[in-house]
Amino acid sequence: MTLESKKPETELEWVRKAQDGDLEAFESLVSLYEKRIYNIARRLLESEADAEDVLQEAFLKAFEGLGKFRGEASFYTWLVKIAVNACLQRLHQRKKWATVSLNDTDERNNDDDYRPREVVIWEDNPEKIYSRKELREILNAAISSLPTIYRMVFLLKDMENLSADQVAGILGISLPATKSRLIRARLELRERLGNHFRKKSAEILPLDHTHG
Amino acid sequence: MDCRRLLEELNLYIDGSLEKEICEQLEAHLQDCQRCRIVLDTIKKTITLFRDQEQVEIPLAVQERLHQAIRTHWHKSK
Repeated sequence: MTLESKKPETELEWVRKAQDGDLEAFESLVSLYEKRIYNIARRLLESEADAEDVLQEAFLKAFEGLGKFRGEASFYTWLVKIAVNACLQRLHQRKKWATVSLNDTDERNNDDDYRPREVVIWEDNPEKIYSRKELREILNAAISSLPTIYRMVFLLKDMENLSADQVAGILGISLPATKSRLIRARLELRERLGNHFRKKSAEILPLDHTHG
Repeated sequence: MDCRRLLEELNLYIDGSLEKEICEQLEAHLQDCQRCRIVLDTIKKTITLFRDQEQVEIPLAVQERLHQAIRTHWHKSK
């Protein structure tokens, strides 16, 4: 039986055993989630070395904090929060975090942010226009160019399949802020990808908000 | 419903958690508005493309260092 197929029935059981000092149970949890945590860290920090540091830090902190884990959230959500905080610390250190924090009022919260700048029809199967490697580069470049506050929300909600409530809890921001950042992340990524995937013959339609 | 309102409700619609009544209004608007249909289709495609990206494997050495660090930590804590 694989670790994945054991989940979720045994996850809490492993947590309880690990809380009682069972190393093997804790390592089972590590094996279950290490790849996802590593990928989140890599995507947020864009550095293999920093992702490794965060991976270790997150699991060691989780190990130390096991006694405080009460099971209100899932173990994974709790772990992601620890890892995201470790990523944020590194981003602060790098001063890549600009001047905003996750708790700042979003100054860009106005109607213009919701408005797509252009509307073009995409090729039917844009993923087939490019090689797998080219596609990965296009997607990486698109998500890298997003401001961190949007990238985090998109990564956790749309790539990690967490709920908006879970994302809000992990990032320590309100649910409305989470949703507002999510739509902007989705719209901005869509526009960046549109440069690569637009149908050659398609006209660009201006978005008319007075319509309808 | 107009284009602006549709964009405000788009998240919930894409995630399948929009109230039924608003959902019907949104779908009625989509039938008449090519621009909003394109925006919706391309956002959905954007999400799918990212979601379908394979996760990278952890390099074996990184994985070994992680488990070693955990074991060391565990023994120290005993």
